[in-house]
Amino acid sequence: MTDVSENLTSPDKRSSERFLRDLHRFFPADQEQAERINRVRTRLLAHAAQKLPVQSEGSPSAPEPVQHNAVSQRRSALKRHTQSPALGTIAAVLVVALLIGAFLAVFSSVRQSSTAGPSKSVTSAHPLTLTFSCYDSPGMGFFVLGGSQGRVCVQTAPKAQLRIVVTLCNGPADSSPVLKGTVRADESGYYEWNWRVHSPCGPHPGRGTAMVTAQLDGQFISQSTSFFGD
Amino acid sequence: MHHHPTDFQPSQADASLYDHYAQRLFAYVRLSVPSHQDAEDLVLDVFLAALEQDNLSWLSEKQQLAWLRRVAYHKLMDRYRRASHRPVVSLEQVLETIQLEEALTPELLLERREEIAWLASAVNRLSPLQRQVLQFHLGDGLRFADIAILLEKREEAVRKLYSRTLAQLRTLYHQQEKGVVVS
Repeated sequence: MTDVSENLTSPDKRSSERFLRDLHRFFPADQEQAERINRVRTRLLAHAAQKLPVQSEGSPSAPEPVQHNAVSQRRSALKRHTQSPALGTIAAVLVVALLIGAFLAVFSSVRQSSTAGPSKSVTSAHPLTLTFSCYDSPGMGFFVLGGSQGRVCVQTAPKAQLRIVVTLCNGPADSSPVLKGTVRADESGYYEWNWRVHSPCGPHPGRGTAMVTAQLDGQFISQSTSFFGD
Repeated sequence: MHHHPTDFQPSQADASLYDHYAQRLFAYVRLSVPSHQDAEDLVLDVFLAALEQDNLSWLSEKQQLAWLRRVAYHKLMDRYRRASHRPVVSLEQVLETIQLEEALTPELLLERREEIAWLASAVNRLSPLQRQVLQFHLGDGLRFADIAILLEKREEAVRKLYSRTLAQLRTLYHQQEKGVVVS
C-alpha cells in the first residue's frame, strides 16, 4: 500500500508527519491500559472462581456444571450486587419485599386450599417468583436514564399478570399511562416498562421505588426495588 | 461424572471473552468516567454481567461487542448521569513533552508553542463526536468497524467523519504553519 505522504515533497512530508504527531498528543493512548486490563482480568477470574462452590453445591453429579438456570444466574448476580455498599439498601428492601411476598403467596395458597379442596397444595411445586432484572443488565432492573427515561424490567412466570407502581423522590406515583393497568409477561416470563418519567423533583430524580405485583393461577407475589441516583 | 473445581472451565471462556473485548470496552468507558479506578470497576461489572449470560457465545462478534457496549452504556447512564467527562490533555503538558522530545532552542520552542496552541484550540472546537472518533482511532487504535459499534453509527459514516476531520485539521494546520491567518 502506498503511503500518501510519499507523494509529498520533503518539507511537506515532514510537516504532515509533525501534524499527525502533534495531533496524537491530544489523543493519547492510555499508557497503563495493559496493566488495567490485567488487574480487571484477575478480579474477573477471582469472581468466577468464587462462583464455583455455589454452583457445585447440591448437584455434585451434575453433568454440565457450566449450565445454570436463569433464576440461579440472577440470584448470583443479585448476590454480587448486594456486596456493593451503594446497593445495600436496595438489597434490604428486596429482602423485606421478598418476605412479604412469600407471606402473601403462602397466605394465598392456604386460602385456595381451604376453598378449592384438598387437591391444591399449600406448597406449590412451582412457586411464583419475581425478580428485577433487565435482559441486558442482569441483576439490575430499574433505571432512570438521562433523568427522563424510566425503565423497569422483571422476570417472572410466563404469562403472569403484572401491575406496577413507581414513585420518584418520595413523591406521588408516576402517572404515566404506560404504568397503568395490568400487563402480561411474555412466554419467557419477561416484561419491561419503558416510559417518560414524570418526576416531581426536576430533571434528576435522586431516588425512586418501583413496586411490581405478579399474579398467576391464584399465586401472588409483590416485590419492590429502589433506584438511587445523584 | 463428578466435576472438581479444577474441571471447571467457564473461567477460561470468560477470560477469553474478556481478553477479546477488554481493550475496546476500556476505550469506551474511559471517555465517560472520571477516574481510572471507576473505569476498572465498571468494566468489571460489564463482564460480570456477561458471565450471567449463557447465550453470548451464540452471537456474532459484532453482536457481542454491541451487547457489551449496551450494558456498559446502561451502567454509565445509571452511575454517571451528570458526568460529561472528557479526557483533557493540557497545552502545558503537550509543550512539556515536546520540549523534552525535540530539545528545542528557546526561539523554536516559541514557534512550536504557537503551533500547538493553535492546534489545541482547533481540537477544542471539534464536536464531541469528532473528538470521540479521533480518540478511539488515534489514541486507542480501534478499527472503524468497532468504533461504529461503540458509537452506534454506520462504519462508513465513521470513516467519513474521521477523514473529513483530519483533512480539515491538516489544512488549517498547514495554513497556520505558512502564516496564513486562520480564524
